[in-house]
Amino acid sequence: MRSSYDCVIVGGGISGLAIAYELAKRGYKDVAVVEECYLGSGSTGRCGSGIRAQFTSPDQIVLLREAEEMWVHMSDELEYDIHFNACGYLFLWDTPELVEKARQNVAFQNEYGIMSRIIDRQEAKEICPSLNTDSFLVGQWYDKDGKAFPFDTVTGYAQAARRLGVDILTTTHVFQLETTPAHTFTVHTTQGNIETKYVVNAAGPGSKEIAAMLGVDLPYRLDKHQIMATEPLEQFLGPMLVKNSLYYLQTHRGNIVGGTDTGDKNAADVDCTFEFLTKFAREATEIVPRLAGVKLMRQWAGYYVVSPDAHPVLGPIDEVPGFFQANGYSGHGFMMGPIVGRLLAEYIAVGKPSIDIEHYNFRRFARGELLTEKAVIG
Amino acid sequence: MEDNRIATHPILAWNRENPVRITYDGRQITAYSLETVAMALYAAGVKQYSTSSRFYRPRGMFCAIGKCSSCMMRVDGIPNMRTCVLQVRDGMDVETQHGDGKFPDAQAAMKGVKEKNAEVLVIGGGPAGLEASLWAAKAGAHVELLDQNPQLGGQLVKQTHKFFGSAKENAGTRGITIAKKLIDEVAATPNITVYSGFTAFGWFQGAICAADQDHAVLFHPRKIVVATGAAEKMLMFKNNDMPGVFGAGAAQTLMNVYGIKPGNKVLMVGAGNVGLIVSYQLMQAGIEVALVIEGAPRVGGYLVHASKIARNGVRIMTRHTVLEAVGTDHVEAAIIAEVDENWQPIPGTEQRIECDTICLSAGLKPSTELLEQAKLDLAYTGELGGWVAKRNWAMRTSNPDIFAAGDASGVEEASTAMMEGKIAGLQAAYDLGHADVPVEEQKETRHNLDDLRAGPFGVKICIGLKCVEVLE
Repeated sequence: MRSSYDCVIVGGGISGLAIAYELAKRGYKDVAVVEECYLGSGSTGRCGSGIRAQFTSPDQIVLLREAEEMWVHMSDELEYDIHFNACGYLFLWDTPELVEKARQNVAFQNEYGIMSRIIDRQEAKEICPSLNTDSFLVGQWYDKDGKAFPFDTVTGYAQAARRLGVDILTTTHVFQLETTPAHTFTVHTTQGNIETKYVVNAAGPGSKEIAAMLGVDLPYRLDKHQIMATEPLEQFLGPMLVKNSLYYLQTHRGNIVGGTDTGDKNAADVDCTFEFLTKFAREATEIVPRLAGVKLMRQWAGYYVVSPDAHPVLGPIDEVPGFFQANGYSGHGFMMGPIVGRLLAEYIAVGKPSIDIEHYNFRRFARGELLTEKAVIG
Repeated sequence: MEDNRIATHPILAWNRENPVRITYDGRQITAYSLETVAMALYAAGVKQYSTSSRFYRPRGMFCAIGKCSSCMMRVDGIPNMRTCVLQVRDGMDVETQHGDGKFPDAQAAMKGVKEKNAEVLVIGGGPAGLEASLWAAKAGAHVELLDQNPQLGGQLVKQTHKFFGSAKENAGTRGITIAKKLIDEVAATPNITVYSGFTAFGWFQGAICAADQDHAVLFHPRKIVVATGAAEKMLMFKNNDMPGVFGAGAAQTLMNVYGIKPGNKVLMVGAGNVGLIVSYQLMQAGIEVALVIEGAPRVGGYLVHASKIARNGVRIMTRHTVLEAVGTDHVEAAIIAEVDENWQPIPGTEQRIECDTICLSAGLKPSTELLEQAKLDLAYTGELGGWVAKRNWAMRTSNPDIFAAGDASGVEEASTAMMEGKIAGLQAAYDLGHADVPVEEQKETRHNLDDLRAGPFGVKICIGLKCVEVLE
């Protein structure tokens, strides 16, 4: 660690590491990533690992469409197998109202080049042979959606960034941020102080606290979400399955990993509850009955960092020049990581991102220009 | 058919009255009703149970007590079954598992979860857990005792040697005799309910869920004693996953609990008490011990144990380690070498030792999974085997409702485990207002425990305890 960098990124999850890598790739190598625990220890390592473009807001669709293009080539790009697989997302709809809404979503997504479609039970069964076709009316299917393995993704980004000269500091806590008269920042860390021109707040669940150090009040709420993983089994499932708040997929390693909504979103803890386990088991076996014979292996919880309009805050803060945000993903930070990395790096290194993200700026809250997204799962 | 069962033994005899038939990869195998699947297969000469999930390497049995995942097979259509702790049933269909397990054939029989309130929940039915249960019950508490093995007794049931210590604490008695006494007492105690074959797998904000193959129970206990024991440590060397490489304790389980020969010629790695005792017991079972090697410059175990095996003509080579298991799908030999002061192998000192079994006696690691899930204060304490819970003199951890005892609270030995269990069990009962056993009994046990540790072999333990015992 040196005492000064051009750019200090707070947070060693996918956002921070992707931004660092994309900066270094553009020749902007005087970068440090500061992570308070281990890489991926916040939301990235706890996420459900799904990647989708089937959203209901044009803003998210545009970003995720681009992100999916990047995910396809990510292992080659990083020279590290991140286990991306376009397994597809299969939404299962079980009431006429939901089916109608799904048809509207599909039409909307198709306008934006996301060629999702409504499929009947038989086709759904061909895509996912273990499905109980009595448990839904129609499926909504997009075959370019997929999954990647969070820890390998984090490792891939970190190794690639390091090769390009980025310093990555783990178990390093940022406890104070100050602006200096010279329009730079002093980052106070448990390893010492760092002077820097830019600070990127990619601290996930800690981003509200980091922003508050510079007087910025990010209007976030932390929602607890639980996930469970089963024993690893030979590949059998196929796509990511989603039904109401239930979702699960089979990882490259063979575990079924997924979650569902429970009544403890406001809990301050990240404890595992038995209620979650039984609810998940009931819902999961309703759509794939033979899962009842599969053993639980792990269970954990993490946070969705939920913004008032379920969209992230991306870009600079007008009142604090040089202080960039990449946070508030409302449960979609992992899938957005690559595109956020690229756009923020362009913002910092070139001054202008290649996709307009001004409407993602923090100022939208003060102006009342909220974005809309209904398709938040879990 | 090959039969590796031991027919006669100077100390032990095995109940082989109830033969059952199981199918293994389409072949009929005769087993006995008290055997587990892995044991029955081993007795019939089957030493490979699965292939590893990534590289399809052959895998046999390693721990033999349900702590590792080396013996997982497909049983009656359900993948990833720990066959070392799964008792045979007539007509059982057992298949080798190649790579990852395949999706179950059938829906599981498990239907719903029973919920149960408990006064004292004891997890683990070894020496510590048995004593904790007995004394909590004697003091007046109702006890639910969980154990993941088919039979109670933990590792006591394989300890054929006589214990040291004071007469009051079972000195001069064989472990197996103590186990029988404790298990009989538990069975005769009306306020202890035993759940054999139940694995306690999760801590859920004060509740503990446990399950066997067909039932799940969510316990809501007022006090918990965690006595989950310890797992044998693996050593790093080439082919250390090859069938024929066992934990030394696993070899002991095969021989003494099930009367099955782990092999015909054994290399013992590690000359601590476990390595020495198991070497001697191998000889008692008529198995040749080729050599005992020890990385340290001197033998770690008691002289009396070392002398016994030396008298029988087995060499103990200190400053030696194992470099490689040789073989294709089973151990055929081992390569060992001398090590320098930094435990690095000295080039040119390699030797090939002919053997079909390599037993690792490299120490134990406390099984602290539940303690970790409950987010207790733990401290890494090498003298006690790894991460262990901080506790007070009565084995109370940083959560006032959770006690830890026996190897789960720090690897030591069965005598001390029993005393810790007794102290913890009594304290759990006292906390709930039960007082049928006077507190002097608990205090005296604590004194006896301190006395037992006061000798030269307790020095290391006492150093470790200084890191984790919280004074009040």
